[in-house]
Amino acid sequence: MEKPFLVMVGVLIFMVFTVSIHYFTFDEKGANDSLSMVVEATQMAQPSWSVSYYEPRMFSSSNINNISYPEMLSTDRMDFVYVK
Amino acid sequence: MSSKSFLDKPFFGSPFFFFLTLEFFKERKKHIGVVVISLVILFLLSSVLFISSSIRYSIEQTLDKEPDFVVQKIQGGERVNAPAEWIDPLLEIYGINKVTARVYGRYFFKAKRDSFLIVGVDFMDEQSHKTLESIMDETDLKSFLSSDNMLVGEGVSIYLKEHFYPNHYSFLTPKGDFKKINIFKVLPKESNLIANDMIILPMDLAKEVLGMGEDEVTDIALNVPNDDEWDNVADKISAFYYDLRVVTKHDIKKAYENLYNYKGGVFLILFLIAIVTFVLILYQRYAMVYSSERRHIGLLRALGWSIRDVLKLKFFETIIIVIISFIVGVVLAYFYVFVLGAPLLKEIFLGGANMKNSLVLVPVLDFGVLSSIFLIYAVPFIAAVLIPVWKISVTDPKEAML
Amino acid sequence: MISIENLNRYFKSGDTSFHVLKDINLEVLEGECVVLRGVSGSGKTTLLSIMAGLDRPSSGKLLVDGESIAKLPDLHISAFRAKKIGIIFQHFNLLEHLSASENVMIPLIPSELNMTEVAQRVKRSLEIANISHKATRPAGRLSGGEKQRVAIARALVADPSVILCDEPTANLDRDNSLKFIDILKDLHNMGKTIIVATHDPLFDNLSFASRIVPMQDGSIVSKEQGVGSSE
Ligand SMILES: Nc1ncnc2c1ncn2[C@@H]1O[C@H](COP(=O)(O)OP(=O)(O)O)[C@@H](O)[C@H]1O
Ligand SMILES: [Mg+2]
Repeated sequence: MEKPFLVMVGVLIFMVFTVSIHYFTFDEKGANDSLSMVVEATQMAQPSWSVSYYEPRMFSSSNINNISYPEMLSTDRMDFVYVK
Repeated sequence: MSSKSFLDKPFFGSPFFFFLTLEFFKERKKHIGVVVISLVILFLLSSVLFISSSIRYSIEQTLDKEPDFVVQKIQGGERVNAPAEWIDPLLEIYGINKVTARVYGRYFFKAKRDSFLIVGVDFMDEQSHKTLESIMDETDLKSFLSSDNMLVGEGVSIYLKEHFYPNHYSFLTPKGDFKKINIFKVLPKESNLIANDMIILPMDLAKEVLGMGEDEVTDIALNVPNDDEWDNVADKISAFYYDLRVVTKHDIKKAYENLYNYKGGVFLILFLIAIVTFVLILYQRYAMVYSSERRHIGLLRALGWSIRDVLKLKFFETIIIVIISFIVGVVLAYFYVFVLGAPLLKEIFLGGANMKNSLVLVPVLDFGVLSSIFLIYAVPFIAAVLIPVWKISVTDPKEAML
Repeated sequence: MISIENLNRYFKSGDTSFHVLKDINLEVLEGECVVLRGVSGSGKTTLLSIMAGLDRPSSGKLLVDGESIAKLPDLHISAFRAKKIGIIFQHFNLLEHLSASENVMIPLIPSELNMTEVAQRVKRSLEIANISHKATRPAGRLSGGEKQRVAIARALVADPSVILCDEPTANLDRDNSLKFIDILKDLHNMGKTIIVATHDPLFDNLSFASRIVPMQDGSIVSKEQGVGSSE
């Protein structure tokens, strides 16, 4: 049973190895540059949340009242009831 | 299994190692359940942490390109469009070096179900000009500005294609006219985190589509290079008008830090669920070891094994199980998140109410978090096996005789 | 070799206490073959367990090679068992998912031997027990007699000086029982000290057994009898 064991160890090492290859060869700079380009050109850096029309697309710390669901409106928002 | 035995061709390893692998593989049924459950939990836990740390990392990378301050006009607690005339006085404040008028807003499509983010950019400005060089060269820019064109994020492009607008879209302006604008280029996939639902238009066109007046802007972004001046500048700006709000980058940064912080919110709940599940598995493991291993351990002891020998065997057996489930769980999570792009789970982070975002997640391995997951998993697991084994071992193994 | 003096063993369960072994006195010399004879429940297994260091006496003295093993710490008791004692259990106690040879190697694993030496020893004791031909068969798929012989090989593999057998023929047919007695004879000729606990009358007339010790209700009854004398 040592053989299957060594095979198993080999498979695990191979898995870790492929992950390291992917991790170290990923074009991180390219990805960051693309993001930076958009931010610099538009001066907008809000993540592109996929939100409904009644949820804010943008927020700052003052209007996050639930950090696990930041897009949710706070309950004291009145524009929900009254037309702007 | 194999009909060959160690008698014909002894292995080079130690008898202990031989026996360890033997027990491990021939009794794999005993281990498979616990390995699978641990794998699933470790997979989910690391997937969630990978996604959140990747998004956080990407956002942080853009932080120094973001404006330091945003000045907004407030009316009745709500942001309204600011007058363009605010810009000049701001430029005069000492310490401010760059002021940009931002024009943006959401454009709703089809009964308000979906929306784009329309952003106006001053293409004549040298800065934005230079920035966009990587996707638009000089000639591109000329043809871009010669007619009504837009740059769209990948999500927008896919969405429009699905709704049969492969090359252009006719926006309905608040005045009631249609404005046909051609898709000039799609922004790179790598920028999806921010630009997925974005439509970049020349300033005037954006104002027209959003129904804003010539002398209106959405808000004003400005940079203050010297950090020490920040409070000072913020005070000065606030003193300008009574109906003005200043949002600093610090606020935004704090918001992001809270957002995907694994120490709070959903993550805390997830961690708690994971820990509770682990405890249940371990309890089951503990009970199982206690009942089923009794005879086995008693026999080994009767055959001359000391308590130490038994503990050594069980320890290595457990360590192997722990390491296998950890490595496989984390590696699968890595592939799922960074190679496959975390289908399904991603929606929890980005929402799924609007258009789909197939963002590129930059691989980020937070070794601190990974090692704490390992410890949370491994230490109780090993204890849950070794404690009953030890308890059984120290009693005299007379059951072996019965 | 083994000397037992005024040995008692009580089992406590709740408030009641069972007096299972009562004032046992027994002397077993090196190379002797002793048969502990008695009906089920007379305390034979308990006595063997104590001799093997698997259980401890409640009172009394137990000396093996002049050493009081009941007072030893675990590490020494295990080493003592590994070196000196081979046990053939009533229900064979094989690990069913392992092959015969793998079962036989178990006592050698904590030893310092390397794999080649282990393989040699396992081969030799499989030959003595006459089961070499089934070495790679999983223990779960062996017949009762074959299991018994694997158990013998396992008891022998560490070359112990004392072999303890608990009801060795209880699960065997007459043929296999006689074969077992043959092997026992070989072991006796090799100079092993053998103690057999049994209620099987087959053991009454062993040519090589030096003594039969009758047990009843936890004590050794009457005078020890020589071979051949009736009860
Ligand atoms: N752990 C125990 N607790 C209580 N009584 C026991 C225990 N072990 C054995 N006994 C009792 O000791 C007596 C002798 O048992 P045992 O040594 O197995 O006899 P034998 O092997 O001769 O059949 C039996 O009556 C049995 O019920
Ligand atoms: Mg018995």
